[in-house]
Amino acid sequence: MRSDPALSLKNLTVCYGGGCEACRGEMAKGMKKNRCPVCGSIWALREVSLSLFSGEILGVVGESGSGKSSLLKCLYFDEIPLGGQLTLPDIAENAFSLSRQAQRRIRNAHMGMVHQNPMLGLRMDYSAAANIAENLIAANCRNVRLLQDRIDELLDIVEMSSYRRRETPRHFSGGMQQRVQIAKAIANRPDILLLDEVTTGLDLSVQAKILDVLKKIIRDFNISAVLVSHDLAVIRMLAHRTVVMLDGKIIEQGLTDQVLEDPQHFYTQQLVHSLLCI
Amino acid sequence: MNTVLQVRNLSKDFYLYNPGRVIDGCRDVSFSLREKEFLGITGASGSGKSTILKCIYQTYRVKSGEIFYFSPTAGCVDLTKIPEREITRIRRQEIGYVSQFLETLPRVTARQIVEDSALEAGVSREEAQKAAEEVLNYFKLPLSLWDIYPYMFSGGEKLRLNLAKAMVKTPRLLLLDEPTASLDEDAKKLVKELLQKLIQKGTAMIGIFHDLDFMRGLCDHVYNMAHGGEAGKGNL
Ligand SMILES: Nc1ncnc2c1ncn2[C@@H]1O[C@H](COP(=O)(O)OP(=O)(O)OP(=O)(O)O)[C@@H](O)[C@H]1O
Ligand SMILES: Nc1ncnc2c1ncn2[C@@H]1O[C@H](COP(=O)(O)OP(=O)(O)OP(=O)(O)O)[C@@H](O)[C@H]1O
Ligand SMILES: [Mg+2]
Ligand SMILES: [Mg+2]
Ligand SMILES: [Zn+2]
Repeated sequence: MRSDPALSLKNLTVCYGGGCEACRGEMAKGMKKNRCPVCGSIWALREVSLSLFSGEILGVVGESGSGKSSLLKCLYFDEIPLGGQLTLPDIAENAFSLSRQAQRRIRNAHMGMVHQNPMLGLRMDYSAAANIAENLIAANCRNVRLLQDRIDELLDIVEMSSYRRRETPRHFSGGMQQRVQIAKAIANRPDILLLDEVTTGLDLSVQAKILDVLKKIIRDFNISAVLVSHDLAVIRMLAHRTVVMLDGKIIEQGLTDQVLEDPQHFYTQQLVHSLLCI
Repeated sequence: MNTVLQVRNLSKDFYLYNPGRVIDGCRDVSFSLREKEFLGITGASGSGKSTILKCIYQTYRVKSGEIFYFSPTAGCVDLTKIPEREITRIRRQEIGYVSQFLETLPRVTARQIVEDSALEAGVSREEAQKAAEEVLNYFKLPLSLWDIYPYMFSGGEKLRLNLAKAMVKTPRLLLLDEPTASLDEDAKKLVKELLQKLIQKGTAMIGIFHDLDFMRGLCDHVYNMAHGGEAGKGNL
């Protein structure tokens, strides 16, 4: 782990619904919830700032609707923010102000994402192998022989049995879909990996397998990752630092053990205790 | 001998929103520690012994006071004030913490856990492998367990793995919170001897042990929570 940031994000703001005069002024900052009581727009992220350092795993936790997926979508340029600055050292001073095409180029060269919803991350009517080929080709791997070898290598890493690689993910189990998503996300050897609920809804042994695969990938390829999960055990095992989100804002952050063992905010205490008491 | 740690007027409390109450962790703790020294902390259950170690390790954010640590790489730093990144680095390379609980990833073998810990300190892969094997051997962890996943280990095996993980490197400061809680006498003897070896190499230690016999011959100083200060050299 080095001490230079892989990315730094300043004042990211996302509003679904366009907003009105009331909420676009100072009010969005002051609103207790993320919904504007006047026009009903959702302020999914309100001036979120954070850094991700090289080789680091940053955990993101928070209740449903707090803005976790919106955050990752912005980092992956899938969502256009209302405001904010994303600095990628040596790549872009503010990646949010670049053209869509330039953003796509950065994404293809440097980023990988596992979507919370596999329907967004996978083409369900392409085979598993073709899904991965798509990202390899986007990252400029065009030699057919190399392409084939690399697909096999990637599917080996996520332990996908070889006889199922020509099938479409539509018929895969949730755990298999997630593993194809992971293989796809790391196909371009990204510097930054964005992981949205990678283990949610899977049974425990499959979860363990996926966590294991991720841990290996992150260590062996020295990747930085943002890990969104509502599972504090996963966060505890993998994340070096953790931020806690509520209603589109970061309300607490620190080393993961600090946040989990000595939570300062009312909401974090509730979150930690509710999970300890199950 | 150089000073390694100086704790000044350390206080910690916990505000719990539910039921809306402040709990005292520890209050106005001061002591200092030099290379090759072992400080034992004694006191009743709930008196704040673990809290002190967790404040030093920065798992707990202190309420007031200073914790000066003399890092061979970064010089004198107040652990309560330096960035999280620096804490992470110091934890990997300089300050070890062992409790009675082992937390590990699923599907990471015992050997890998110890090797990774050695790698964090910055040695080569070959050196890490060799060091891991040595320390696993030392703690008499059966060879048959080295390449399996520790969640199926017995309590004692987990403890030994935990110790191996911390002691595979030579930390500058080692924090020990009842790490021998459920070990038999033979295993405890091994732990004690290895602690003594690390001390010879210069490691400073702070230890909490229910077992006063274990502490005897190891402690240079004792901090007694009830008296809020040193009870004297090796005097338990
Ligand atoms: N495309 C959209 N259009 C309108 N509102 C949206 C859209 N996407 C998200 N939202 C709203 O923005 C807020 C943040 O949503 P987001 O998906 O980021 O939450 P989340 O923290 O990922 O939640 P979960 O844990 O349930 O996945 C929610 O109130 C959600 O309803
Ligand atoms: N994370 C925490 N949140 C809230 N209160 C805590 C926390 N950790 C410790 N405390 C409280 O601080 C006080 C001191 O606890 P600590 O664990 O330091 O005691 P101890 O001396 O180590 O006791 P023991 O010998 O039983 O391990 C106790 O009242 C405890 O309940
Ligand atoms: Mg989400
Ligand atoms: Mg204790
Ligand atoms: Zn509005």
